[in-house]
Amino acid sequence: MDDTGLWLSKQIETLSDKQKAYENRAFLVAMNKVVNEQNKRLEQLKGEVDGRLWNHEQW
Amino acid sequence: MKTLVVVSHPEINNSQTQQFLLQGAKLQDVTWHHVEELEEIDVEKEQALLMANDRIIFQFPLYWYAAPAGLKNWEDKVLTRNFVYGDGDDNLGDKEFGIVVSTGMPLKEFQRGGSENITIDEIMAPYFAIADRAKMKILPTFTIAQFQYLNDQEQMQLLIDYQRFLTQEYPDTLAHRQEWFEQEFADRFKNFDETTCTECETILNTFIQQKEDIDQLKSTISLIKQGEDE
Repeated sequence: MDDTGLWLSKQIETLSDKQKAYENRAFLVAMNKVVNEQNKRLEQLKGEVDGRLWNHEQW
Repeated sequence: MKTLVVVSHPEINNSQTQQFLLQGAKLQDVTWHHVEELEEIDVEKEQALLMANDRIIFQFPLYWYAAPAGLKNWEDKVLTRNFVYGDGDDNLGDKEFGIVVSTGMPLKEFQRGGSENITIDEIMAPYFAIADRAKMKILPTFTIAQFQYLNDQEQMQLLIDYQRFLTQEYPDTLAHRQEWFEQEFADRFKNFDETTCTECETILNTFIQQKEDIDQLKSTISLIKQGEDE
């Protein structure tokens, strides 16, 4: 997985652990789930680009 | 976008679920409107309130496969035929309509073969019929099953999912989720503990960068696909 995505997820996790207000904590935990979704999507899309560029039928 | 939450619960102060949702609904551009608290139903005022909002939510606990009597009473008075469709004006046309329903039964029972043997969508048919008649766009129903059994993590997720249901653009895609969190993070980070603006701005910018990277990759793929078609 991309380092940036992992870094971002870690930053948000650290920030959420520091929050005293319930709603802020809830918000950051939920936002981190979207970051994980982004990371997964990025990995899939990069894989798709590689796969399509290496499509032998197009050589 | 403005959202109106029409809430019906005869004992709202004793409802943990509704009190929890009330905290979640304290958002800009969201109006919490509890029908049982109205001393009298002023039809014109209620209709004006509906017209002033873009997303209308009916929120209630499931009582015998329907909303509590308070909501039915409100509907029968406020949703007059002329207002909804009779006078030729689609007063509610193009607005969005959604339901937030809570139930004490597990969600898995609301399906054919489950102990309830009926789906939530089937139960909500009369509300969807009204929404269709009014030419409103129907959102997928937000069901809260067995709130009292949710653990802390699940409750936290519920709070934010509920806030997104009230204010996030429809449909619930990754693109719309990203937009919502981007906007909300920008609005909320000043209230965060133990952080600096610079730190938060870096987080926000990285989040936006990830979103843009996704878009960039998608457009690359669509270019490759075009090439494959030729």
